[in-house]
Amino acid sequence: MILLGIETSCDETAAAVLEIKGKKYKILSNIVSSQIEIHRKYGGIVPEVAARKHVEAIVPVVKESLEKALISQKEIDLVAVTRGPGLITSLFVGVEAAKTLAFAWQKPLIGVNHLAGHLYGSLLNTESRQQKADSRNLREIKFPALCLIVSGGHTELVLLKSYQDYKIIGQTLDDAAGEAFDKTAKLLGLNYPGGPEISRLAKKGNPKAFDFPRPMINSNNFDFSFSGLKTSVLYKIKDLSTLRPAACGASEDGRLKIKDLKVMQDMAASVEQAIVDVLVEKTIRAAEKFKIKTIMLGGGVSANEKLRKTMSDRAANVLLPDVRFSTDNGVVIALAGYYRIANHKLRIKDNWKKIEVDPNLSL
Amino acid sequence: MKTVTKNSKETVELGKKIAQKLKGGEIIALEGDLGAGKTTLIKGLARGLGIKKTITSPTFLIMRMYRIKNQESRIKNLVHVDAYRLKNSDELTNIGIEEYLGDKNTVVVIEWADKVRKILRGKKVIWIKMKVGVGENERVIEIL
Repeated sequence: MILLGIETSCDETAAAVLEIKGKKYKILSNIVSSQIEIHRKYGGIVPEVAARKHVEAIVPVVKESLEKALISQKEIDLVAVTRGPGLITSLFVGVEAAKTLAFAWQKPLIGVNHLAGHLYGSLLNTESRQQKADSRNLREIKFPALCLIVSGGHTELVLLKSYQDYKIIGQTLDDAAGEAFDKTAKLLGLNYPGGPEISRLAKKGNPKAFDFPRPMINSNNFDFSFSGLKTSVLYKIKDLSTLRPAACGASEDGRLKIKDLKVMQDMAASVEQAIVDVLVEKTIRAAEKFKIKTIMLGGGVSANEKLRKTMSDRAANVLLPDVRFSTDNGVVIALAGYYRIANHKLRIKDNWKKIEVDPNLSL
Repeated sequence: MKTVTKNSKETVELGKKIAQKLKGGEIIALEGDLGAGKTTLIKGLARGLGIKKTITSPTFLIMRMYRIKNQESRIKNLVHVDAYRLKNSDELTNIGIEEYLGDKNTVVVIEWADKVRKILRGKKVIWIKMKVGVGENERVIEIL
């Protein structure tokens, strides 16, 4: 089966062609047009800019995905598109494009939950990079499995009993993990996206230099809370400005800012450690309770090296997505589409009429 | 009216109190920096309106809507908006905010409202300024 996956829920316009035969898969193409550079100057994703850029990029991106895959539209068996959750204005671009293609090509279309894409991303085996176009085996999940989905908009612990049977057992009560990275980075005067910036500085910092809270780490459920971290960072900077005035200064936006690089590195390392500790601890606890056999990671924050290493050190059989598939892309959307219809017959042709955008879609 | 809350629990309580006075159709504008407690106050507000669902940060999605099932209340929806990432009011118009502003069955609460002043012009708005206080966990909340 050959699938075209389309993704526009946030700041990447992406399309990919994926071939699946039994347990083997082949990525025929994977095109991602990122807007990070554009949004960097605004300090975050600007929805209106995002939607406009999606409109500009969607046709060339889809076209390129077909050209790179060396296939014609006739060979496509199914179009899969992210229909939520995400920014409504951005989602519309991908969904409308997919509907148009499905109608014009007379192909079945399936709406995919963005989170389902992240759920399966780590199944793409990426060990032998050099044989790029070869078929590879999808990694196998031993059930029950657990997937931690962490990104700018999501922090969810998902329990999987089979490929199709899953449910959320824990989530954030306030800010998402990626949002915690972005917002604390902003408080530290760092650029968007905050996660990679914090990780970069953290490499040379001491993660024990500052003591940040690990909210709910010992609570009796699998929910998360990250909003307190912002306050804590604010106070730490405030304290520093009285204790070590030389290390601080005011930034353009009027906030206190750390000037000393070492202090900054320590602060970044400590923030990263606090976020990673909570994510890992809660995942491990859930894994013990549900006698989990496979732990998977997905979503943009799963590219974080500290998180990857800490999780792998703490548990056996951890499946980490390739960094390319941590962030948003069309391949995992195609894969999620595949699993969605795996047990069903394809209802052909006119089903494009039924696909609707849902910005608050839940898993 | 100026209130100082000593911890997030008190901020939630204040939100609940504000909720008791709402009749529907109100627009509540929140202004305050990162970590000022805006989402926390709204958690209380939502609780006060009878919403059981967890109120999470709407930064990523810009707008989240919560239905209120309480039969006795005229307020049927809470619309939670976050303008943190927005450049101007037009973006809120694009996602359909106008439909809810001033609707008598809806309460709209907007974080980072100072970024979208234009859309609020000429409308009756309850403006709330929030900032971090002196003591740990203290918040200064001013209802204008």
